[in-house]
Order: sequence, then C-alpha cells, then structure tokens
Amino acid sequence: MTQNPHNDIAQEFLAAYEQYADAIFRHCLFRVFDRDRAQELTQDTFLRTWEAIREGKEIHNLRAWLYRVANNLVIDEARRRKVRGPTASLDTLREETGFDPGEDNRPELEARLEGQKVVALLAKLDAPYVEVLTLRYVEELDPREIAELLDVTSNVVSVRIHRGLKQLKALLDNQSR
Amino acid sequence: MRIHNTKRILTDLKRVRLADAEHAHLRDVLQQAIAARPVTEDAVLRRMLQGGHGIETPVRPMRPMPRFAPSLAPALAMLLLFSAMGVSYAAEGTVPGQLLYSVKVRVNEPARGAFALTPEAKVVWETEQLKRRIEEAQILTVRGELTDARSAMLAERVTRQGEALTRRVEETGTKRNVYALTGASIDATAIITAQGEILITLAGSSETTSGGSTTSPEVLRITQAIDGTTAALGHLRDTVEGQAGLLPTSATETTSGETPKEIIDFANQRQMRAERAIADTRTVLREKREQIPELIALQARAMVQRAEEYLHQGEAAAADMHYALAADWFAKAQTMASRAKALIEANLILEVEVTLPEDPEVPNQDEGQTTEEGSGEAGGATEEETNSTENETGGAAEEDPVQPM
Repeated sequence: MTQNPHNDIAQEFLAAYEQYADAIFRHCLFRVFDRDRAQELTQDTFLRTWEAIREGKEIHNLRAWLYRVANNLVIDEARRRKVRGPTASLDTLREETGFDPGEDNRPELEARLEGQKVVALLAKLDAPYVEVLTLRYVEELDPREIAELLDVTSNVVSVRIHRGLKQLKALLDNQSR
Repeated sequence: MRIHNTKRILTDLKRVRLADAEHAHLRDVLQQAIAARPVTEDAVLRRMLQGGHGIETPVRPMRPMPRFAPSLAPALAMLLLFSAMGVSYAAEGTVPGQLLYSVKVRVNEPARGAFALTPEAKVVWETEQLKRRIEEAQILTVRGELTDARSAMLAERVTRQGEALTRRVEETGTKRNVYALTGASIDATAIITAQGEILITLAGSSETTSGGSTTSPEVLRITQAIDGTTAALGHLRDTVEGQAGLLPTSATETTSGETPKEIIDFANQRQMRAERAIADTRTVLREKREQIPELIALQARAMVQRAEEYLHQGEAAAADMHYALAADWFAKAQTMASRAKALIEANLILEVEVTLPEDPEVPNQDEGQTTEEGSGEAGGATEEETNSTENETGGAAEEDPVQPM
C-alpha cells in the first residue's frame, strides 16, 4: 500500500501554511493595521482554505487562492469598520507590526528611520495603493499576478503602483520638512 | 527621498512576520481543524479523477453588480439565504442522491450563471455545467452508485444543458464572428468529449470480465447524451461555416475579413489542440484508474480508525456507523479491484486487513440491518466477508442507509 491521500492533502496544506503564513499575515496587517486582527484574519484565511480543500474545490494556485480569501476577509473587515480606525503612533506601529530594522545588520540609521516612517505612512496611504505596493514590493508579486488577484488589468495595477509610490514619496517629503 | 529608496524600504517590510509563538499557535489551530474536519471522500476522489485540472478561484465581484433577469431573482434570493446558512458552500461538492444536490443545481448554478454576461462567458459556464454533470456521473460510477434513476436524471440534464450550450455557441456567431463560434464549439466539444472519455474508461474498468468491454446501460445513456451535444455543435459549426461561404476552394474573404484558409487553419489548430487534450486526459486517467481501488481501501481503513476512536470515547453509536461505512468502503474497494483486475492485482486490496476490537459494547451489526446488502457484516468485516460482497456492492451502495459523506 502506498501513501494515504488524505494525509498527503493535509501535509501539503500544512506545508503551504509554513510557506505562506507570514506573507498572508503581512498582507492582512498592512490593510487593517491591527496585529491581533491581522492574526485572526490569517487564521480565518487558512481555515477557510482548508474547508475548500476538504470539500474538493479545485485549487490550482494555492498562493493566489490564499491571497484572494485574505483579500475578501479584509474587504469584509473594512466594510464592518466603515472607516479605518485611528492611525497608530509610530511607536505603537513599531511594537504592533514587529517591524524592527535593528534586527538587520545594515548599519544605516537613516534607512532604519525611513523604514519606520514607511510603516507609519502606509496607514495614511489610500487603501488601493497600500494593497498594490505591498503586493509588489513586499510580497514580490509581478503586476500580472497582482492583476489576476485583484481582478483588474495589469495596466491598472501599474498605474496604482506608480501613483502609490508617488503618494508615499509625497508623504515622506512632507514629513522630512 | 527618491522613489527607488522608497521601494527599497518597502521591501524591508518583508521582515514583518508572525512571532514564533504566534506561528506555532496558528499551526496548532490548523492541525486541530484538520483532525476535526478531515478531507471528504469526494475531495479525494475528485483529486484522483481530475488530476488537478480546471480552475476555480474564490473571486469577489469587483465590478458593478450586473442586471439580472427577473427569473433569476428567486435563485439569487435563495443563494443569499443559503449562503448565510453555509448550505450553498456545502452543496458544491455533492452528487445526485445527496441531500444538498438540488441546492447545487437549482440555486448555486443558476445564480453563478447570472454572472456570465457575455456570450463567450455564457459558453464557458454552460460548458462547465455540462462538465460538472459528467464528473458527477464519473464519481457515481467509481462508487458503484450510478443507478438507473440517477443515470436517467444526469442524461436528461446533459441533453438539456447541451442544448443550452449549443444555443450559446450560436450566439457567439450572431455577429458573423466565425472565429469565436468555431473556437467556442471546438473547445466545448473537446472538454465534454474528454470528460465522456473518462466516464467510459471508468465504466469500462467497472465491468466484470464476463461483460467484456461493453458499457453499462446507465453509462451508455449518458454518453449518448454527450454524443448528441457534440453532434449538434459540429452541425452548427458546419452550418455557420457553410453560410459564411467558407469553402476550401474559395478565394474570397468572409465578411469578418478572414480568408477561408485562415478560418480552416485556425479550426484545424484548435481541433489538434483538443485532440491533444483528450489524449493527455486518457494518459492521466490510465494512471489514476490504477489508484482508485487502493484509494477506496484507504478510505475504508480511515473509517475503521475513526470507529475505533469513537469506541474509545464510549460513543458506540458513532463507532457502529463508522464500522458500517468501513465495511461498505471495503466492499467497494474489493469490487473495484476485481473489476479492474487487468490493471491492478486483486490481492493488493486484500492486504488491508480489518482488525476490529472484541469489545462487548460494539453493537451487533446483524441486528436491524439488511444482511443481504453486505453492510450487515459491518461490525466484524473480515477478509472473507469482504470477499463475499464482491458481486453485491453496486446494490449495497444504493441501499446503504448511511451515505459515506
């Protein structure tokens, strides 16, 4: 007797969790800016995906599926909140997001400070820009993958990335004055 | 700050991650969920049968809501109601004979079809619906549960949905877009022909040696419905191409600007692609078919394990039910193995021994069960008893009071 297909499916799913948990967590965190809530959304994303798998849904690209489920949950979350909550302070964000450039050996103090600023400023960006910027530069998805994920054209994604970077740069410039 | 610096800092955000304790906690939650809600038999069977083909992703409609035909309002309302109850979701994996199947075909599918707005999207959806019906027939065939009534119902649906598909394909040609019509027709034909091939192969493997390679009447009825659809699609293609003056010897251009040669080359390319897809499907299927009896036996073993767990927890009734399911699955595995003996040796299945604990609390399965259906031996299914059900399991599955779902 060979392998048990039931166990194989479960093992594949757990391997996917190991591979994608942090990415999905970040994806949620940079949209809701609440670490606890982002954890809950990450958990819901994987639980819902498991339900889909166990029911026999065909999932060809698990990574894309996870992002879609997470996206749907984040949108539901945003609808519930109606208005995004108050932006957290820099220190709180640093604490909540676990973003600590100090863990890196890179010595440039300037880069650290800029990194922290970016985390804080992400909360001030328009939501569609945060979405594409993090997917593009944090998760390193190419515009075509992002377009598929968000159900928009690649051109729209490229425009949003361009405008997002521009808006982020403007916010950074304003802060540095 | 320059743009490229901003990009660099964004990439630094990659270091934001779950703490180790959080990561471990989430993994525990998932492992508990997996243990509590294991993979369904359908999921495993679908995985085996489909080999990972087809795409279905949880797409949230991002565009403005389309206008729906008034006739779809009840289905959409029911969908909303059932979605809220989780029924709609659960219904998606069902096959004829299961409680939620009518929700799948009468609520979920009409509602999903309402989102197909263009003729091309409608063709894709109609094809998908046909594919679903044939896949359901495949699953029922593998389980030995394709009864006369279910076959008649599925054949009727295949015919009806085939007619709808042909109309949709015709719609794509209304603007004399011969390419679209030809492409849609060939693609749809390829998909349903491939699925029909799978069904025939599965059914063929289910035949006893005395039956040779003849196909059962239940399967034949469905394949005839498939043939009717492919013939109608072929006829439509011939008619439209003929009306467009696409004679191979003609040198004139069509109204859409393509020369007949281009149209014919295009059609030939699609046809070749379709034939390659069918050949690939046959190859995959040949591999999968060998695994099916083994898979079902594993399912049986999983049922025994669950029954034992229930027994340890003192839940005799649940244990009882799972022993019955185990016996049923063993019988199916045995039947499949014997039917597919050209592909797999029957003694592979017999290696799976059922060792049931001699616990006085285990209810006697012979009481209150129809022993002739094979499930009566469930409480103590032995190798010999499993063998004895070899020729009865088709009926046993049909009359089984507990569906293995």
